[in-house]
Amino acid sequence: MDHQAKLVSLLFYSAEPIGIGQILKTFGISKNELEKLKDSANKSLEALGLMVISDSDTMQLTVQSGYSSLIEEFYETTPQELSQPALEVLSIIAYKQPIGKSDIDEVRGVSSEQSLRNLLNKSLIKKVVRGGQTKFVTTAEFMKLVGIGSIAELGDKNE
Amino acid sequence: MAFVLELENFQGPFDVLLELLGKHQLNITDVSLGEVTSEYLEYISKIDLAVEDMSWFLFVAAKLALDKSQLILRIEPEDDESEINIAESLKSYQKIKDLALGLSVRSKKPLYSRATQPQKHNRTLLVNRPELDVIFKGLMNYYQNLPKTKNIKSNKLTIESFKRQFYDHISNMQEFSAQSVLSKSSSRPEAIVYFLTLLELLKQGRISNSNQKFLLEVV
Repeated sequence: MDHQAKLVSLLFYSAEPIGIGQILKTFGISKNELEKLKDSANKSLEALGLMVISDSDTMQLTVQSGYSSLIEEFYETTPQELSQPALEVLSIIAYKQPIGKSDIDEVRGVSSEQSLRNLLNKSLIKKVVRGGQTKFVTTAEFMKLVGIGSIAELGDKNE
Repeated sequence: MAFVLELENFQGPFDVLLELLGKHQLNITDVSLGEVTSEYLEYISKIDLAVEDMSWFLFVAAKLALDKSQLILRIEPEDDESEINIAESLKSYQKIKDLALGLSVRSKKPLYSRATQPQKHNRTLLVNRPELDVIFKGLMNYYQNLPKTKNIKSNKLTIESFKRQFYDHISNMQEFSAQSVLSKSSSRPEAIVYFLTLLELLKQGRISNSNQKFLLEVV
Protein backbone atom coordinates (compact mmCIF):
# COMPACT_ATOMS: atom_id res chain seq x y z
CA MET A 1 0.00 0.00 0.00
CA ASP A 2 1.60 3.28 -1.02
CA HIS A 3 1.86 6.28 1.27
CA GLN A 4 -0.26 8.49 -0.99
CA ALA A 5 -3.29 6.18 -0.75
CA LYS A 6 -2.73 5.77 2.97
CA LEU A 7 -2.55 9.53 3.49
CA VAL A 8 -5.73 10.20 1.52
CA SER A 9 -7.52 7.38 3.36
CA LEU A 10 -6.65 8.81 6.76
CA LEU A 11 -7.61 12.33 5.71
CA PHE A 12 -10.85 11.15 4.14
CA TYR A 13 -11.96 9.41 7.32
CA SER A 14 -11.67 12.51 9.49
CA ALA A 15 -13.85 15.59 9.19
CA GLU A 16 -11.31 17.46 11.34
CA PRO A 17 -7.69 18.34 10.49
CA ILE A 18 -5.17 15.62 11.45
CA GLY A 19 -1.98 16.43 13.32
CA ILE A 20 1.05 16.39 11.03
CA GLY A 21 3.21 14.96 13.82
CA GLN A 22 0.91 11.96 14.05
CA ILE A 23 1.11 11.38 10.28
CA LEU A 24 4.91 11.62 10.27
CA LYS A 25 5.12 9.15 13.14
CA THR A 26 2.70 6.70 11.51
CA PHE A 27 4.42 6.79 8.10
CA GLY A 28 7.97 7.15 9.42
CA ILE A 29 8.75 9.97 6.96
CA SER A 30 10.16 13.50 7.21
CA LYS A 31 8.19 16.73 6.95
CA ASN A 32 9.68 17.39 3.50
CA GLU A 33 8.65 13.93 2.32
CA LEU A 34 5.14 14.58 3.62
CA GLU A 35 5.05 17.87 1.72
CA LYS A 36 5.98 16.01 -1.49
CA LEU A 37 3.37 13.38 -0.69
CA LYS A 38 0.78 16.14 -0.29
CA ASP A 39 1.73 17.61 -3.69
CA SER A 40 1.46 14.25 -5.45
CA ALA A 41 -1.83 13.50 -3.68
CA ASN A 42 -3.18 16.85 -4.83
CA LYS A 43 -2.26 16.04 -8.43
CA SER A 44 -4.18 12.76 -8.17
CA LEU A 45 -7.14 14.43 -6.45
CA GLU A 46 -7.38 17.33 -8.90
CA ALA A 47 -9.74 15.52 -11.25
CA LEU A 48 -11.95 14.52 -8.33
CA GLY A 49 -12.55 18.10 -7.13
CA LEU A 50 -10.68 17.46 -3.89
CA MET A 51 -7.48 18.81 -2.40
CA VAL A 52 -5.25 18.37 0.63
CA ILE A 53 -4.46 21.52 2.59
CA SER A 54 -2.03 21.99 5.46
CA ASP A 55 -0.90 24.58 7.96
CA SER A 56 2.18 24.29 10.17
CA ASP A 57 0.66 21.58 12.37
CA THR A 58 -2.29 19.97 10.63
CA MET A 59 -3.49 18.52 7.34
CA GLN A 60 -7.02 18.13 5.96
CA LEU A 61 -8.89 16.91 2.91
CA THR A 62 -11.23 19.51 1.40
CA VAL A 63 -13.31 20.18 -1.67
CA GLN A 64 -11.66 22.51 -4.20
CA SER A 65 -12.84 26.13 -4.09
CA GLY A 66 -14.25 25.80 -7.62
CA TYR A 67 -17.02 23.61 -6.20
CA SER A 68 -17.91 25.86 -3.24
CA SER A 69 -20.92 27.43 -4.96
CA LEU A 70 -22.23 23.96 -5.88
CA ILE A 71 -22.02 22.87 -2.24
CA GLU A 72 -23.64 26.10 -1.04
CA GLU A 73 -26.49 25.67 -3.50
CA PHE A 74 -27.01 21.97 -2.86
CA TYR A 75 -26.79 22.13 0.93
CA GLU A 76 -28.36 25.59 1.19
CA THR A 77 -25.43 27.01 3.08
CA THR A 78 -23.55 30.29 2.82
CA PRO A 79 -19.89 31.15 3.23
CA GLN A 80 -18.80 32.50 6.59
CA GLU A 81 -18.73 36.30 6.72
CA LEU A 82 -16.43 38.32 8.92
CA SER A 83 -16.63 41.91 10.11
CA GLN A 84 -14.21 44.51 8.74
CA PRO A 85 -12.18 44.66 12.00
CA ALA A 86 -11.94 40.84 12.09
CA LEU A 87 -10.75 40.78 8.46
CA GLU A 88 -8.12 43.40 9.24
CA VAL A 89 -6.81 41.45 12.23
CA LEU A 90 -6.84 38.25 10.17
CA SER A 91 -4.90 39.98 7.37
CA ILE A 92 -2.25 41.22 9.78
CA ILE A 93 -1.84 37.76 11.29
CA ALA A 94 -1.87 36.01 7.90
CA TYR A 95 0.87 38.18 6.44
CA LYS A 96 2.97 38.77 9.55
CA GLN A 97 2.59 35.56 11.55
CA PRO A 98 3.56 34.78 14.20
CA ILE A 99 2.60 38.16 15.65
CA GLY A 100 1.68 39.37 19.14
CA LYS A 101 -1.37 41.38 20.18
CA SER A 102 0.55 44.61 20.85
CA ASP A 103 1.98 44.58 17.32
CA ILE A 104 -1.47 43.97 15.85
CA ASP A 105 -2.88 46.84 17.92
CA GLU A 106 -0.08 49.12 16.75
CA VAL A 107 -0.77 48.41 13.08
CA ARG A 108 -4.50 49.09 13.52
CA GLY A 109 -4.12 51.94 16.01
CA VAL A 110 -6.75 50.39 18.22
CA SER A 111 -7.22 47.45 20.57
CA SER A 112 -7.97 44.19 18.74
CA GLU A 113 -9.01 42.25 21.83
CA GLN A 114 -12.58 41.57 20.72
CA SER A 115 -11.63 40.61 17.16
CA LEU A 116 -8.92 38.25 18.40
CA ARG A 117 -11.40 36.58 20.73
CA ASN A 118 -13.90 36.12 17.91
CA LEU A 119 -11.28 34.72 15.55
CA LEU A 120 -10.05 32.30 18.23
CA ASN A 121 -13.64 31.17 18.83
CA LYS A 122 -14.05 30.51 15.14
CA SER A 123 -10.73 28.57 15.12
CA LEU A 124 -9.41 30.83 12.35
CA ILE A 125 -6.35 31.68 14.44
CA LYS A 126 -4.56 30.00 17.32
CA LYS A 127 -2.10 30.97 20.01
CA VAL A 128 1.51 29.82 19.92
CA VAL A 129 4.39 30.60 22.24
CA ARG A 130 7.50 31.95 20.56
CA GLY A 131 10.45 33.13 22.63
CA GLY A 132 8.33 32.99 25.76
CA GLN A 133 5.70 35.31 24.26
CA THR A 134 2.15 34.55 23.15
CA LYS A 135 1.68 35.10 19.44
CA PHE A 136 -1.02 34.37 16.92
CA VAL A 137 -0.90 32.29 13.75
CA THR A 138 -3.55 31.30 11.23
CA THR A 139 -5.03 27.79 11.10
CA ALA A 140 -6.23 25.28 8.51
CA GLU A 141 -9.72 26.68 9.15
CA PHE A 142 -8.45 30.07 7.94
CA MET A 143 -7.07 28.48 4.77
CA LYS A 144 -10.44 26.88 4.13
CA LEU A 145 -12.14 30.25 4.68
CA VAL A 146 -10.04 32.01 2.06
CA GLY A 147 -9.79 29.03 -0.28
CA ILE A 148 -6.06 28.38 -0.24
CA GLY A 149 -4.05 25.17 0.07
CA SER A 150 -1.08 26.77 1.81
CA ILE A 151 -0.17 30.16 3.27
CA ALA A 152 2.31 30.69 0.42
CA GLU A 153 -0.66 31.05 -1.95
CA LEU A 154 -1.57 34.35 -0.30
CA GLY A 155 1.50 35.84 -1.96
CA ASP A 156 3.66 38.71 -0.79
CA LYS A 157 1.88 41.40 1.21
CA ASN A 158 3.59 44.02 -0.93
CA GLU A 159 2.32 42.66 -4.21
CA MET B 1 -15.15 74.44 7.48
CA ALA B 2 -17.75 72.19 9.08
CA PHE B 3 -17.11 68.53 8.61
CA VAL B 4 -19.58 65.74 9.17
CA LEU B 5 -18.02 62.38 9.79
CA GLU B 6 -20.01 59.39 8.60
CA LEU B 7 -18.35 56.05 9.12
CA GLU B 8 -20.08 52.71 8.86
CA ASN B 9 -17.23 50.54 9.98
CA PHE B 10 -15.45 53.02 12.13
CA GLN B 11 -12.98 51.34 14.47
CA GLY B 12 -10.09 53.51 15.51
CA PRO B 13 -8.15 56.73 14.97
CA PHE B 14 -6.56 55.51 11.75
CA ASP B 15 -10.01 54.89 10.29
CA VAL B 16 -11.01 58.44 11.24
CA LEU B 17 -7.89 59.93 9.68
CA LEU B 18 -8.25 57.93 6.46
CA GLU B 19 -11.87 59.02 6.23
CA LEU B 20 -10.92 62.67 6.78
CA LEU B 21 -8.16 62.51 4.17
CA GLY B 22 -10.48 60.73 1.76
CA LYS B 23 -13.23 63.31 2.14
CA HIS B 24 -10.78 66.08 1.36
CA GLN B 25 -9.14 64.02 -1.39
CA LEU B 26 -5.75 64.30 0.26
CA ASN B 27 -2.88 61.85 0.05
CA ILE B 28 -1.29 60.36 3.13
CA THR B 29 1.47 62.86 3.88
CA ASP B 30 2.60 64.79 6.95
CA VAL B 31 1.34 68.01 5.35
CA SER B 32 -2.11 66.54 4.59
CA LEU B 33 -2.37 65.25 8.14
CA GLY B 34 -1.60 68.77 9.38
CA GLU B 35 -4.60 69.99 7.42
CA VAL B 36 -7.03 67.56 9.04
CA THR B 37 -5.62 67.70 12.58
CA SER B 38 -8.14 70.31 13.79
CA GLU B 39 -11.05 68.28 12.50
CA TYR B 40 -9.67 65.15 14.09
CA LEU B 41 -9.33 66.93 17.45
CA GLU B 42 -12.85 68.31 17.11
CA TYR B 43 -14.14 64.83 16.35
CA ILE B 44 -12.55 63.13 19.35
CA SER B 45 -13.81 65.88 21.67
CA LYS B 46 -17.34 64.74 20.81
CA ILE B 47 -17.05 60.96 20.94
CA ASP B 48 -17.67 58.80 23.96
CA LEU B 49 -15.34 55.82 24.12
CA ALA B 50 -13.99 53.28 26.57
CA VAL B 51 -10.77 54.34 28.28
CA GLU B 52 -8.67 51.81 26.39
CA ASP B 53 -9.91 52.97 22.99
CA MET B 54 -9.76 56.63 23.96
CA SER B 55 -6.06 56.27 24.81
CA TRP B 56 -5.35 55.37 21.17
CA PHE B 57 -7.27 58.43 19.95
CA LEU B 58 -5.49 60.71 22.39
CA PHE B 59 -2.09 59.30 21.53
CA VAL B 60 -2.68 59.95 17.82
CA ALA B 61 -4.10 63.40 18.64
CA ALA B 62 -1.02 64.32 20.64
CA LYS B 63 1.27 63.10 17.87
CA LEU B 64 -0.68 64.96 15.20
CA ALA B 65 -0.61 68.18 17.24
CA LEU B 66 3.13 67.84 17.76
CA ASP B 67 3.78 67.13 14.08
CA LYS B 68 1.62 70.09 13.05
CA SER B 69 3.35 72.48 15.43
CA GLN B 70 6.75 71.34 14.15
CA LEU B 71 5.51 71.84 10.61
CA ILE B 72 4.29 75.38 11.32
CA LEU B 73 7.43 76.34 13.25
CA ARG B 74 9.58 74.56 10.69
CA ILE B 75 11.32 72.53 13.34
CA GLU B 76 12.98 69.39 12.11
CA PRO B 77 11.54 66.40 13.99
CA GLU B 78 14.01 64.51 16.15
CA ASP B 79 15.34 61.41 14.50
CA ASP B 80 13.94 58.87 16.94
CA GLU B 81 13.38 55.43 15.43
CA SER B 82 11.09 54.37 18.24
CA GLU B 83 8.72 57.26 17.57
CA ILE B 84 5.67 56.47 15.49
CA ASN B 85 5.27 58.32 12.23
CA ILE B 86 1.53 58.74 11.74
CA ALA B 87 1.77 59.05 7.95
CA GLU B 88 3.77 55.81 7.72
CA SER B 89 1.41 54.07 10.13
CA LEU B 90 -1.54 55.19 8.05
CA LYS B 91 0.06 53.86 4.88
CA SER B 92 0.64 50.50 6.58
CA TYR B 93 -2.92 50.49 7.84
CA GLN B 94 -4.25 51.33 4.39
CA LYS B 95 -2.30 48.36 3.05
CA ILE B 96 -3.87 46.11 5.69
CA LYS B 97 -7.32 47.35 4.70
CA ASP B 98 -6.53 46.47 1.09
CA LEU B 99 -5.32 43.00 2.15
CA ALA B 100 -8.47 42.57 4.24
CA LEU B 101 -10.53 43.38 1.17
CA GLY B 102 -8.57 40.71 -0.73
CA LEU B 103 -9.32 38.15 1.99
CA SER B 104 -12.97 39.16 1.91
CA VAL B 105 -13.08 38.48 -1.85
CA ARG B 106 -11.27 35.17 -1.39
CA SER B 107 -13.71 34.12 1.34
CA LYS B 108 -16.52 34.08 -1.23
CA LYS B 109 -14.96 30.87 -2.56
CA PRO B 110 -14.00 28.86 0.49
CA LEU B 111 -12.84 25.26 0.68
CA TYR B 112 -15.37 22.95 2.27
CA SER B 113 -14.51 19.81 4.17
CA ARG B 114 -16.71 17.01 5.45
CA ALA B 115 -19.37 18.42 7.71
CA THR B 116 -19.41 15.81 10.43
CA GLN B 117 -16.90 13.79 12.34
CA PRO B 118 -17.32 10.03 11.84
CA GLN B 119 -18.50 8.20 14.94
CA LYS B 120 -15.84 6.45 16.94
CA HIS B 121 -16.36 2.99 18.36
CA ASN B 122 -20.00 3.43 19.37
CA ARG B 123 -21.85 0.14 19.37
CA THR B 124 -25.35 0.74 18.07
CA LEU B 125 -28.59 -1.05 18.71
CA LEU B 126 -31.79 -0.55 16.79
CA VAL B 127 -35.32 -0.17 18.05
CA ASN B 128 -38.34 0.32 15.82
CA ARG B 129 -40.28 3.41 16.75
CA PRO B 130 -43.75 1.82 16.48
CA GLU B 131 -42.43 -0.93 18.72
CA LEU B 132 -42.26 1.52 21.61
CA ASP B 133 -46.00 2.23 21.39
CA VAL B 134 -46.80 -1.46 21.27
CA ILE B 135 -44.55 -2.17 24.22
CA PHE B 136 -46.04 0.58 26.31
CA LYS B 137 -49.60 -0.52 25.63
CA GLY B 138 -48.68 -4.18 26.16
CA LEU B 139 -47.02 -3.43 29.46
CA MET B 140 -49.93 -1.43 30.71
CA ASN B 141 -52.30 -4.28 29.85
CA TYR B 142 -50.01 -6.87 31.38
CA TYR B 143 -49.64 -5.08 34.69
CA GLN B 144 -53.25 -4.00 34.88
CA ASN B 145 -54.23 -7.67 34.76
CA LEU B 146 -51.89 -8.59 37.58
CA PRO B 147 -53.49 -9.00 40.98
CA LYS B 148 -52.97 -5.92 43.08
CA THR B 149 -50.99 -6.69 46.21
CA LYS B 150 -51.80 -5.14 49.49
CA ASN B 151 -48.30 -5.56 50.86
CA ILE B 152 -45.90 -2.82 50.09
CA LYS B 153 -42.30 -3.89 49.97
CA SER B 154 -40.05 -1.86 52.19
CA ASN B 155 -36.95 -2.03 50.01
CA LYS B 156 -36.18 1.26 48.34
CA LEU B 157 -36.21 1.40 44.56
CA THR B 158 -33.82 3.99 43.25
CA ILE B 159 -34.04 5.10 39.67
CA GLU B 160 -30.25 5.09 39.39
CA SER B 161 -29.95 1.43 40.37
CA PHE B 162 -32.61 0.46 37.83
CA LYS B 163 -30.91 2.57 35.20
CA ARG B 164 -27.66 0.74 35.83
CA GLN B 165 -29.43 -2.60 35.50
CA PHE B 166 -31.04 -1.40 32.30
CA TYR B 167 -27.75 -0.22 30.78
CA ASP B 168 -25.98 -3.43 31.88
CA HIS B 169 -28.68 -5.49 30.32
CA ILE B 170 -28.80 -3.81 26.91
CA SER B 171 -25.00 -3.43 26.80
CA ASN B 172 -24.66 -7.20 26.73
CA MET B 173 -27.15 -7.67 23.92
CA GLN B 174 -26.28 -7.97 20.27
CA GLU B 175 -29.79 -7.01 19.22
CA PHE B 176 -32.00 -4.74 21.17
CA SER B 177 -35.65 -5.47 21.64
CA ALA B 178 -37.42 -3.03 23.90
CA GLN B 179 -40.14 -5.63 24.54
CA SER B 180 -37.59 -8.15 25.77
CA VAL B 181 -35.90 -5.60 28.02
CA LEU B 182 -39.12 -4.40 29.57
CA SER B 183 -40.49 -7.89 30.07
CA LYS B 184 -37.49 -8.56 32.33
CA SER B 185 -38.99 -6.27 34.90
CA SER B 186 -40.47 -8.17 37.78
CA SER B 187 -42.77 -5.51 39.07
CA ARG B 188 -44.76 -2.54 37.91
CA PRO B 189 -42.34 0.02 39.42
CA GLU B 190 -39.43 -1.69 37.63
CA ALA B 191 -41.28 -1.66 34.33
CA ILE B 192 -42.10 2.00 34.77
CA VAL B 193 -38.49 2.88 35.56
CA TYR B 194 -37.26 0.87 32.56
CA PHE B 195 -39.71 2.66 30.35
CA LEU B 196 -38.82 6.06 31.81
CA THR B 197 -35.14 5.27 31.30
CA LEU B 198 -35.88 4.49 27.70
CA LEU B 199 -37.70 7.80 27.35
CA GLU B 200 -34.80 9.57 29.04
CA LEU B 201 -32.41 8.09 26.49
CA LEU B 202 -34.68 9.52 23.80
CA LYS B 203 -34.68 12.93 25.47
CA GLN B 204 -30.89 12.93 25.89
CA GLY B 205 -30.49 12.15 22.23
CA ARG B 206 -28.82 8.82 22.93
CA ILE B 207 -31.67 7.33 20.97
CA SER B 208 -32.22 9.20 17.76
CA ASN B 209 -34.68 8.78 14.95
CA SER B 210 -32.76 7.58 11.93
CA ASN B 211 -34.33 6.06 8.83
CA GLN B 212 -37.59 5.28 10.59
CA LYS B 213 -35.66 3.56 13.35
CA PHE B 214 -34.36 4.54 16.73
CA LEU B 215 -30.65 4.35 17.08
CA LEU B 216 -29.56 3.57 20.57
CA GLU B 217 -25.92 4.30 21.33
CA VAL B 218 -24.48 2.34 24.17
CA VAL B 219 -21.48 4.27 25.40
